[in-house]
Amino acid sequence: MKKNIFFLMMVLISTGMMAAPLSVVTVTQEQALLVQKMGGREVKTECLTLYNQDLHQVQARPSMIIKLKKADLLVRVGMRLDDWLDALILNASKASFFDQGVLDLSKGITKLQVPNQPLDGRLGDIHPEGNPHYWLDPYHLLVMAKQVSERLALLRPEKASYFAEQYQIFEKEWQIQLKKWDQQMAPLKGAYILTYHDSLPYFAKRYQLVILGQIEIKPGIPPTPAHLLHLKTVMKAKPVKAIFVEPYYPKEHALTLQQPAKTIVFSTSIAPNASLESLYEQLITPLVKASY
Amino acid sequence: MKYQWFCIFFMMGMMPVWGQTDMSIIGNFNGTTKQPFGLNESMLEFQQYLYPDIKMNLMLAIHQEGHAYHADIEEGYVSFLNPLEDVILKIGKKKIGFGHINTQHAEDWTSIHQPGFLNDLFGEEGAVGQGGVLSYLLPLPVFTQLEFGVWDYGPYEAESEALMQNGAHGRLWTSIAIQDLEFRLGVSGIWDNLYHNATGIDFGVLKDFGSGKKIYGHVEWASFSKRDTYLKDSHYAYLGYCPSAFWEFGFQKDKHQYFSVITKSLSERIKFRAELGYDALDQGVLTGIQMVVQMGSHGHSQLK
Repeated sequence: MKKNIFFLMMVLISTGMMAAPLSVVTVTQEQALLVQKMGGREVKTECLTLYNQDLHQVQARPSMIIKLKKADLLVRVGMRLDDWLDALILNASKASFFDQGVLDLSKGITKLQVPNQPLDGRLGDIHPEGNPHYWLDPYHLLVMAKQVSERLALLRPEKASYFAEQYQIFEKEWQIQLKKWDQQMAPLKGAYILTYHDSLPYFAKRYQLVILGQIEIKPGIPPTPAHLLHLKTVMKAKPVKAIFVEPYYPKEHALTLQQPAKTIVFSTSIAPNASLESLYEQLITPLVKASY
Repeated sequence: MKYQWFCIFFMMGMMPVWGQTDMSIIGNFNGTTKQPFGLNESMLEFQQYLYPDIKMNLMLAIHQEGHAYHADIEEGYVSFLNPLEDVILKIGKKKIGFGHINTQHAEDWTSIHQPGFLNDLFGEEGAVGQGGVLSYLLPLPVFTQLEFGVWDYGPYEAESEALMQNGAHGRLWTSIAIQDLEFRLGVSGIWDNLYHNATGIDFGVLKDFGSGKKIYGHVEWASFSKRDTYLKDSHYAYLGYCPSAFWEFGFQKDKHQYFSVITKSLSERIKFRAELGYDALDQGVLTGIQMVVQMGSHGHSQLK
């Protein structure tokens, strides 16, 4: 009997059935949830940032290197939003990070706002590769999921069919969600919205919302009273349904603008253990309410 | 001197050729009690991958000395990022990893004046050398790195209490995170073949609240000897609070100097700083204002 168990164990080990789950480190909570969906029981995810953290302002810390050292895959946002990762990759001295060990999810995305002029401070803190907030378009989740699934299969070929199956399950479920959100957002076509930072161009393009402007003067540059006055004037002519403020930006400017226009001010955040759908629900539900 | 300027202009002339080189130019304008406000230092920083895991960094600096400007290669090194797993090898001219602040450039200091700690121990330039340094990330559950370098510090100078000729340095540092609170502890030693040596210890703590809001502190102490004879020691301490990504309020103490410092960043490209301090040795008030500007992309390769 003991011999049989030993033999079975050896077979399982040799076929990779008892291999440890792939360790995946992600930059955002959303990515961690997506990777977990794609990898199921075959992956273990860890996130580098807090759920309410501004990705522009993350400080690379030595302790993060240990997380990277243990990782089989590092998933990044790319488009220079997470440039601080470079310091960690440089100091981790891990061979796979110079090959298949890093997945930049922006690679498969059609980028918006790619500057076609030389960049300087007049434009604010502009990203040279375009606006990096691509994951806020729920359709892009499918593109990102496909990339994750393919990379996991590359790293663990013996589980390729499992990862493909996970993707198919996700795609089916997500298509149902997308259909629901398309219906909910349809009445909002052409509606005016305002954002604190320019973080919704992909979302707005998908649902044909019109972004009237930003509370920031330029990306990364806080508002002035004159700019807020200008926005108030613009909002009188074009009533804004909602103002979107990320959890890490101050809400007081949006609340000042909110009163006369009777708009709603809303935010999103993915708390630990939340679902991936909840991020988009937080975006869509307030807008739908605002449309009544 | 002419040769240095030729090199700078040659490299600037080559810029269009290096289409993909990541370049930035940093201007450090400052004025203190001892010096009128003006462009004090300008630095050109180039970095590019030469191979998937080999990177080149070059920092050229033009410093003001009196009414003249002096060109210098501040740092220039090639990093072999994975010659062996967990090992990094850097070869070239480098600020030596003795303690924490010695590796930082002027625009990254927490005060406008050069921290007295560096000046007291190693002179105006800090500890800099030509050579190579090997870093090894120890296989432990917490970040722990061992560093060993072999250096040429420069020519012999009689009567000087500084590092000279050839020598070596070693550093062991660790960093532990408890949720969003990070502690860093390091010990360092440096030697030359004329029996000068320094040993130091540094400790840092950072509490990151996210979105640029953070509080951090740093303490560093070192002593300098020749053979077994104590020559001097110095220390540095800084406590900083950033209520947002745009403001920082700090207090710095060196062996003889105290500073309160306010920093305002307009964006990633420009920041202003003002400081008010007291020098206990000269018994005089120290004031300073500073503007640091940056053209081009960030380096983003330093762990702070």
